[in-house]
Order: sequence, then C-alpha cells, then structure tokens
Amino acid sequence: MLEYQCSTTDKLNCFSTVVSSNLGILGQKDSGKEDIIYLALGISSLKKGKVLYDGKDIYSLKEEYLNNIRWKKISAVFYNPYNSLNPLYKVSSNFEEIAISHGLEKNASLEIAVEYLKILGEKKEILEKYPYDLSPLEAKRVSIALAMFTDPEYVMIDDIEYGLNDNGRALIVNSLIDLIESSRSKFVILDNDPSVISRLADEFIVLYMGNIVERGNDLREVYHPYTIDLIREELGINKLGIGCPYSANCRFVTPKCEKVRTTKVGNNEVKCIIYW
Amino acid sequence: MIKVKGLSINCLNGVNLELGGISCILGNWGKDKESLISAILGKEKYQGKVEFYVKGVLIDNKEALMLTRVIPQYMEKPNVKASSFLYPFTKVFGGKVKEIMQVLDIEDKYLSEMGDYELFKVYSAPLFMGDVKFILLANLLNSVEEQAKARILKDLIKISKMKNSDLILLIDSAEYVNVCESLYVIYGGRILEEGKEFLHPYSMALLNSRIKMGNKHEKIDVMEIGQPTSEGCPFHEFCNEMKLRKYLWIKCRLEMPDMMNIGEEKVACWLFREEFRQ
Repeated sequence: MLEYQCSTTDKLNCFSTVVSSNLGILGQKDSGKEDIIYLALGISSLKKGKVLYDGKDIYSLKEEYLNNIRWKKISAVFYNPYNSLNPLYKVSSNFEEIAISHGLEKNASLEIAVEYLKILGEKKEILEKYPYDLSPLEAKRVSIALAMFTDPEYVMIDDIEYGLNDNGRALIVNSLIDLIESSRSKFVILDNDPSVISRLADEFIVLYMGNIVERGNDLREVYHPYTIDLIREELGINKLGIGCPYSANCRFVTPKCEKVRTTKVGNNEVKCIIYW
Repeated sequence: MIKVKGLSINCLNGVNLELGGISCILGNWGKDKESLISAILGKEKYQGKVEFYVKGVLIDNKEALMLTRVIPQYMEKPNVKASSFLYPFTKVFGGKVKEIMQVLDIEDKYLSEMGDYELFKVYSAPLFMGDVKFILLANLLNSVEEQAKARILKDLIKISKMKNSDLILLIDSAEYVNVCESLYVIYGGRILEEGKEFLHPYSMALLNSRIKMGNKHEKIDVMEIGQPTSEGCPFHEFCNEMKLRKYLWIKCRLEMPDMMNIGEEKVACWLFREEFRQ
C-alpha cells in the first residue's frame, strides 16, 4: 500500500492520500504534481510528513532497501520519455540494464518486455532501435513498457500527452486502458487534461499550486470553482490565496474563504466555503 | 496575405496556399510544416514562389521579414529575466521593453519560473515591437498545457485584429479549427483539403483523435496515423475508406488525385471523384 501522510515539499503542501485504486491527479504545470512521483521513489527532499510503502516510511529506509522498491514495486513514466532511455544503448539494452540492476533474469525480462510492447501496439523490432530513432509515440510506448515489465505494484505516469499530437495521445490512452485492464498494477496518472483522467482513473484528486482542493470519483461531477474553471479552460494567472488556495482567483471569493476546510459534497470532498 | 505558389522544398510538393486573415494549416507536425516555415522565412532555397502582400500590394520578401514574427513550437526557458530576454528584440524591431511589459502585465521574473501562459506573454511581446503584418504560430499549442491553449489563441486573435495583421496558425489538433477563417489540411507534403468540412479521410482521422471526457476505461475510436507514403495518396496505408472500397485500391495506392471542388470545399481524394462515388 502506498500512502502519503501530509507530505510536504517545496511545491506540495501537506499532500495526503492512500493509493488504493487507479488514481488520477489533475493539476497544471505549477501544481507540483510531479513531486508525488519523486516522493514515491524517494528522490525528492521531503520537508515534512511521511511517504509510506507497506507501512514503512520510504524516507527512513536505507538506500539498498529503497532500491528494492524503486522500479520493482513503484515505477514511473516521466513526461519526457527520452529522459528515461540511455541514448547510447539500444532499446533492448535499456530493458536489460534495468533487469540486471534489479536482479531479474535478463532473457525472461526481455520476453516480458516484448509482450508489453505488443499490448502497446509496437513490434519486437523496436528493441533494435536506438532512442534517437524513436518517434515521440514510440518513445512513449517504450517508456511505458520500461515501467511495466518489472511488474510493479504502482506505476506513476506523468503527463502522457507531452510531445504527442491528438492522434498519439488517443492511442496512448487506449493502450493504457488495455494495460490497466490486463495488469495487476495500480496506476497513478498525473495530467493537466481532465478528459485523460476521466477515462483512466477510478478516483481523482485536483491539485492547485500544491494544495488539494477536491477529490472524488467522477470528473463529470465536480464542485470546486477551480476544478470547474480548469475543465472549462477559464483560468487566469495562478496566484496563491490565503485559506482556500484558489481564493485569489475565485469569482466567488468572500472573507470566509480564509478559514476554509474540506466538506463532503455529493460524492466528493471539496475545499470550498460555498458548500458549507 | 502570404501567397505560396507551387512551392517545392524537401518533402513539400507543388503546394499552393493563400494565407490571409486567420489561416490555419492542420496536420501532424513534420518535415513538411518545418519546410513551409523555412520557405516563408527564406531560410532555405525552394522552388516556386512565396509572395507577401500588405493591403493588396506586393512587397519585397526582405521587407516582409521585418514585418513577420514567429512564435516557436517550443518556448525555451533560459535562466534570464523577462526584460533581459526581450531587450535584444527591441534592438531589431524597436519599442521599449518596460512599456510593453507593463501593457502585457508581464512580471520581470526568470523565464524558468514561469507557467506556460506567462511564458507565452513574454514570447508574444515582440508582436508589439514595430510594425507587424504577419504572425506565425509554429505548432505551439501542442507543447503547452490544456488550460493555456484557449487563452493563447484568444490573445493571438485579439493581437492580430489590433495590429491588423494576418495570423497563420500551424496546428496538429482539430480542436481549435473553429477560429480559422481558412483551413488547409496538409499531410506528407501535400495539401489534402481546403475548408472546414473535414471531408478527406485524413482530416476525419484527425478530428476523431480528439480526446473528450468519457466514462472510466472507455476507449477512443481512433486509428493510428503513421508516416505518409510517397506513392499515391500519402494517407492510403491508413485509409479505412479505401480499404472498404476495392475499386479504389489501385487508384489510391498509385496516383495522387488533384484537388476537386465539393461545394465550397476543395479536397484531394479519389472518393469524391464523380466516377467513384457510389
């Protein structure tokens, strides 16, 4: 079980959640959502709070134990897929390197990688290419297979649409749906596009400048003014408000917003005084 | 207006365009669009003509370049403040950095600390320097976050109206074509369609690729658009319409059709040829 307990970084403010299903995290580029990945992998500095994997605090584990969690239990697809690949190695060697460094059998791992690539719509021949030869769509598929082939419990995917056109995005979303349905891994999808989250995630969290403003199960049922503005694409330049983080931009702002707390509205938890 | 006549460069093959008002060129970003921008900016040698017209009068291409501003596909974020970044532009085009930043409400902070929309405002500042008649947006909408796209478009349209300039949008998503006064669909170096009806199977495939809000685990009805082919219609390998009609197999594979008029539209597809319509 992966759990964040008031995890605070330079960009995230007391982020708490238990990842128990496929989770979508909706936020803009300045939301600090990428820190959620770095924290799970123990590669970002944690100012306050805890990040627990199976009840153990990731930040109190020794590096050797942490390496057993990284990629074997929690893996990630970073927004720029080329950054996950060593440019000097063929695609196959990139898989082999991860397999060897995690004590996995090299040939069996490659066979598994080929199966994942097939689900993602790529042929075996892609293993013989070098990263610079890959189109953005191929690179994205390879990086997803790279995150999946160790059969981790959690796969964190940042900004799947980066560098892809509409066609590539739609194909990747379809491939991820196939993977979600055929693997036992739980996915954490971090994105700024609500339509992507709506199709991939079982539950969602909306982040505004590092703060959770809403969480729920269906993005077609949302209440917080920020979530509504974000879906309608009616946003100004983000400023951090006092109390409710969105109060500096919100059209419904009142002095009461300074003392906002989270309330239950419909099926969602919303940090907004309108619904008190 | 920019008139492109019989332009052939790299993979572009005898392309004709009339880009005026708000003109859009829709299609996957690739060598063809890069070459088109290179030709318009005179960066590479080409065959054919690229002519610039201001109020209907043909002007010299070198003069036109001074009236042209390009907003790049990727906005670099160098570790400099906005004012330092903009200063060299004023040396070329004129204008005062402070005043422009004030008008556009640009904070003088490091570009590396800016969000997409703030960064766009910095990159759009040169549009307020000197006289501007042609604005080119080079597929930027692909690389910015969803929430910034609509605002960027809105701002660009406002600026182009204010400056009385032509706005040429190179886009790879059909989502924003409603703002276009004229639309060309380009693929594999060829213009496949002129108009906003989305008649060509490639245009349809682009239109269907848009992701909308959906149910959990609901797939998008989309097919993969790969690399264009050089023989016949560049889209024939992926064209379901062709696959459904045996009588088109040879035609589409071997021969690129000419543009034909369908009402107010123009489309280059054998499907719309009188003898093949069934």
